[in-house]
Parts: sequence; C-alpha cells; structure tokens
Amino acid sequence: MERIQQLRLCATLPVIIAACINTGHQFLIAASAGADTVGDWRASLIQNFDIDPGQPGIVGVLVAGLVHLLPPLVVAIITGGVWERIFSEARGRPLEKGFIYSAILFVLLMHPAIPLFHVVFGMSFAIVFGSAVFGGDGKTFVTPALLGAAVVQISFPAALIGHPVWQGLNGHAGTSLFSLFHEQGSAALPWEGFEIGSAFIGNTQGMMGTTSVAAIIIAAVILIYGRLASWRIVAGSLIGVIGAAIICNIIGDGILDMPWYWHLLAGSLIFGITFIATDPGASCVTNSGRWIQGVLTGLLLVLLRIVNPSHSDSMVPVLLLVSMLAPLIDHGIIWLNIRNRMRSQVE
Amino acid sequence: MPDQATSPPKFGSQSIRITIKGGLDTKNLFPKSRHNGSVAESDIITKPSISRVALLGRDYSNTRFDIVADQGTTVIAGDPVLRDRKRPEICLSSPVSGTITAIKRGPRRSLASLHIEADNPQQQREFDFPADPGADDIRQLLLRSGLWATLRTRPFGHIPEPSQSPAALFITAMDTRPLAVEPTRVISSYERQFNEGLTALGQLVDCPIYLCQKPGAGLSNDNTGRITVAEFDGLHPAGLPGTHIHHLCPVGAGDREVWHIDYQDVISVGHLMQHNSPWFDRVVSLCGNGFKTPRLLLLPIGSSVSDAVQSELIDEPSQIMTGSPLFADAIGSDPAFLGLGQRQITAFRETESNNGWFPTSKATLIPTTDLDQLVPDGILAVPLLRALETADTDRARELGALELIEEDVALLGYASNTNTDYGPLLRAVLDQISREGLSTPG
Repeated sequence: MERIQQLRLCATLPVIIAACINTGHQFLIAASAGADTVGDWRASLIQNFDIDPGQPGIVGVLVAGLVHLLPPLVVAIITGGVWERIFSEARGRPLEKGFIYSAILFVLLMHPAIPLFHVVFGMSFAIVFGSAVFGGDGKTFVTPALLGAAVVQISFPAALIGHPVWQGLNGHAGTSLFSLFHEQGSAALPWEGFEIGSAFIGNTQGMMGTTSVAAIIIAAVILIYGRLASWRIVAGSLIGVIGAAIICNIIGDGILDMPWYWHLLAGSLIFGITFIATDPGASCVTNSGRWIQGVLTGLLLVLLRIVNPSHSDSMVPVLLLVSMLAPLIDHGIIWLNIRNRMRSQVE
Repeated sequence: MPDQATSPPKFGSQSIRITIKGGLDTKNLFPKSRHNGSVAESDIITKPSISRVALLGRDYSNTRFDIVADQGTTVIAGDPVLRDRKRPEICLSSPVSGTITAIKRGPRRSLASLHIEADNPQQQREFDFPADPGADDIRQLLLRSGLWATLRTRPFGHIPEPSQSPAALFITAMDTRPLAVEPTRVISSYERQFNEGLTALGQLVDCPIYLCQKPGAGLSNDNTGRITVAEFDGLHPAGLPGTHIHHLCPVGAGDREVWHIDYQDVISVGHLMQHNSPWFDRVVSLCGNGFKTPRLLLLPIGSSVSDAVQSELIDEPSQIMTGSPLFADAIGSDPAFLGLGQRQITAFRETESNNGWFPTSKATLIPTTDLDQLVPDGILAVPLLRALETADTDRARELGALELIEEDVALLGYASNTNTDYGPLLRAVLDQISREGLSTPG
C-alpha cells in the first residue's frame, strides 16, 4: 500500500507544479490586461506581494499560482482528514491516508476561483459517499475525487459567469474553446488565442490541473510504469477519442469539426483518462475489459461533447458512467473466460 | 482467453515449443553483493554429514497417515515408516538408516513431522523386481519403495490413486524460481539414472509423457517416441508444472487428471531400477547473499537445515528460508527440515528488506496491472484472488483454481499489495472441492 500511495503522489507532482505555474501565469495575464480584481481575496493577497503583472518573473508567477492552488488544497486535505478521522474512530480502524490523493485530484479539477466553501462541500461528499460508506481505501467503486467534482459541478453550475479574470472558463462547463467550435467551427480558433503549443504545455485557462497536457503525460508514464494504471485503458481511450473525432469530422460541421488533437488538448479529457479512468478500484480488472472500457470512454467523451452545447466538457459524467459500467464489462469477460474453460475440455 | 492447444499432441511427436509471456524478472530482484547469491555452474556437489532428518506432513496435503514405525524403532533407508490411512498400499519410507526419535502431531491429530536420527554406517533396503518389468511390476515397486509418494496429481496436488491412470504425465525438468539451480546441471551428473527413470515411468503409464524443459536443454535421448519434449521459454512461472499443464493438458474443467513429477524424483526412480534401492538424496542449492559461497549440496530428503548450513553462513545476522525466495518457509524458533519438493535453502542478510515475509495489516487488494502476467495466460488473476479471499469455492473453481496449487499463487501474493499468502486460501478451496467431489461443476 505504501508503494502505491508514494507512486500516486509522485505522479501528481508534475501536474501540481504545472497547475501552479499555469494558473499563476493566466491570472497575471488577465490582471495586466486590466481585469477588475477588486473584491477577489486572492487578488488582494497577490497584490500584497508587490508583483508587477506585466513583468512578474518566475517567483511572481509561482506566488500567484500558489495563492490559487494552496488554500483549496489545504482546505481539501483538512476536510478529508476530518471525515476520515470520524469514520476511523467510529469503526475502530487505523486512519487511511488515501484521502490525501483524493484531495489533490479534487482540487486539480477545480477552477482557480473556487470558493473554499465549495471545496469543503465537494470533498465532504467525496470522502463520505465516495469512500467511507463503502469501506474506505480500495473498496470504492468510483474515484472519490470525481464524485466530489461532479457534485460541485451540479450544485454550482453558474460559477464564474462574468468573473473578471476567469470568464473564459464558463464555469465547470469547459473552456470557451468548446462554444467557439459549436458556433463557428474550426475557423474560430486562431484569433481567440488557442494555439496548439500553448495548449499542450498549459498556457490556457482551465481547471487548475487539467491545462497542461505535457505534465499529465509525464504523470501517465509514471503511473503506467509503476504498474498502477493500465496502458490498455489509456490506449483504448485514445483510440476511442481519435476514432470518434475522425468520424465526426466526416459527418458534419460546427463542433463536429473539432479535430482529434483539439479534443485531446482541450478541457479535462487527458486528465480524466490518466488519473480517473485508470484508477484501479474504479476500472476493469481484466485486460480485455480494460480495452473495452477505454474505447467506450473515448467514444463517449467525444459523443457527449458534441451533443451538449451548454456543458461541453463531458469528462465528469462520462467517467462516472463508465466506472459504474466497469463491473458489468468485467462480468462479461469473466463469463467468457469460464465458458471457454469448460469448453476447452470437451473433446 | 486461454491460448492453449485445443487437443493434446499425439505421442512422440516432434518437440513442442511454447513461449510464455509476462512473468517475473527475477534477475534484479535480489540485492547484489560479492556474489549475486546464485550458484556458479561449475560448482561441485558436496555431501555434508547430516544427523537428523524429518518427514513433514505438510508435504502431503490432505493425507492422513498411520504410523508404521513408532518412536524408538530402528529403521534402514527404504523401510516404510508411514502409511496412507485410506490407501495403505501407499507408504512413505525413511530416507536414512537410524532411529525414530519423535513424532509430532499437528491440528486435529494430523502428522506434523516424523524425526529420525541417522546412524553410521548407512544401510539401504533392497527392492526386487522381475527382469522385464511391466506396468504393474513398476507400480508395485514404486509403492513398496515409497517413491509413489513423489508423484502428484493436478488438480489438487495429492498423491495419485494407484488404480487410476492419468490423462498425461508431466516431468518437470526446468526451474525458473529465483536463484534456483539449473536442472541440466544436476541431470548431467545423474544422466543414466534420469533416463532409466524416464523409461520406467514410460512403462508405468500409457498416456502421453511431456518432458518439460527450457529451450535447448536437450534432456531426452529417447528414440522410441514415447516422450514428447516440451520446451517452455519465459520468465517465472514458466517453470512451474502448473504452467506446463495449463498449456498442454488443462484440467480446469475438472473432468480429467494429470500427474506430475520432479526431475530429481525421476532420478530416484531410475536409481531404484538400476540399484534396487531409491536415491534418497537430493541436490539442493544454498543461495542468497547470506551464505559465504552459494553452492550445491547433496542432502537426504528431510535433512535438518541447521546441520546442512553449519559453517556456510556469513557472520552477520541473516534470515534463512527453505525453498525459493518466493515461496518459502521462514525458519522460526522450530528447527527446520527440508521439504520434499524444496531444492533451495535461501539466506539473505537481514539488513536488506525482503518483501512479504512479515505480516502486514489487512489491506484491500488493489488490481495493479502486473498481476495478470504472473499467472498462466487465460487465468484472470484479480477475480481469482477475490474469490480466494472470500472463500467462494464455486467461483474459484470456475476461474481455474483446479489448475493450481500453492506454488502457483505464491507469485501473486508476492506481487500484490496485500502481501497475503494465497496458498492456504487456495488449499482451503481445493480441499472443499475435493470433499464435495468433482462431478458437479459449477
């Protein structure tokens, strides 16, 4: 168990660093463009450090990033810890530390201006209903962080509308990239500032941990090499996304025209595939099942983006759905395995 | 999905070669030191003097024994000392001449161990048999000499019923366990006996016989086509009989039985045919960096470990285990003896951490991605382990538990985050299936 926890935290490290840098950078861009940040406590805190938004230097960027990332993280860990403590006392079992990883994932899925109350709410839901009531670490059938993110999304859908800094984010529904595609197709991209290179390293607005595809790829390599994440799920998802995107491109216009590489770069898709779809407790345990789960995930991710113009980043509902289907997929694979075993004897 | 052949190849066909994917890379598992803990190929086999041996009840799972030679009796090597209560024609014979010093009981008055103090000089009992022995003669010979008890069935891993015939016989002449001695090395020192043993076994049964070896070992000089050479290429557990049986004659559905025997026991059969008495010694490797020089020893079956490793251990505290590092019995305060199938005594310096010998708190199994590589292709690791953990006998059976014995699941326990020994859980399930009978699958 120790090895697994250490591996997980190690994998989140590049993503946390990238989240910090990217969030800070985006904030400073908006601030230097003259966004009105009166009333935003984070902005006030950052101003105390005397950072010039136009020329922040790396320290300035990090400070801006940490001010956005650290408070929710601390609050999430404390919230999770309190609930774990309550349950461990009630059950007479030692405190399990899996909530730290869940807290990190949860916060990485949040937008930078998340009210701390939402963090407490989401994390509480995540730990109580996503983990503790099922028996704790290893016994959950859905990733707790995902459940927490889902609950926050559903409960506070109007967040960030009209926010001076983050209005590009459209709440939890995904970046404005999606609405651009919906309305105008691929022609819209270049002048709105969406470039492949910057999207890859994360120089865009988005949920804090999901912007830097490069960092997430590093995390994926760590998790796969450490034998925690199945490469079959990742490969299957990529195949599903790319395949579905190509088919959509052939079929129509508007959002259907979004090329497969923009699907991969935009929103929290890659984050979801790497950290959530591959969660061993919430995914298939058979190798064939993992392929099926992956491809299904990829297909649904693209499909749900297409059909819902107002909530385009489909990662949370799709991954919830697929992780609940995982035992059913396994059931089918096991049934086949048993049938083949009985059959191979009949000669 | 299982990828085994759909029907067993015919007798004496050309050799088969099977590549096993996945498995455990054991080369880098163990801490390096002056030597890497394994025995050099050219080492001579030395024979220390052993004064105490014991026959261990746990080597014969599920068999209840009656005592033939009681405490205080003097026996010579080859004399029967224990008989199978249900099948009295099956006996265990003493590996040495000497006096029975103690008989220890285990739970529910089963046999834990029978201890013999060896004499000097050693005498051996002779077993006669007709000049041109047929199947029955060989069967009787093996039963009387106690060598029948070196055969094992699959499923279950019991001693076979003498009146039964197996669907196939597997000779295990390869060993992929970490730091194990290369069987070709041992067979080359006892080549004639090995071949005689193969011939005798070929007379005993009329089913296909598979000689399972690593690629290029060239162990059989059989021209009669009686023996099919099966080469298995791959990492551990490629060398386990469970893997060989899975690929060549799977028994998971419960409708047939195969037997398997280890190469050193085959040498013993051959020795019996040549010299009218079994070979009671076994070649055992001392391995691991807890020994000054890893080497090969010739030890009697059931040899006392402390007698064997006297003066071989380094000065620092080390942990000693009988058996391979993956599937071993740690030596605690009870004096330890070498089990029937154990070909290694392993010692590691205590400063290095060794996975899995110390019980950890009960963790939930996390389906890491390496587990499926450590069981034969076609067995789903995580569902099987979950069925074992919950003692779901029907499910475990459906998932292939009948193909396995404890050594096959040892790797899973080693690699999983729970560090549980799944062997006893598997044995409980197998015992239940064997009690209920195989006739009603599922």
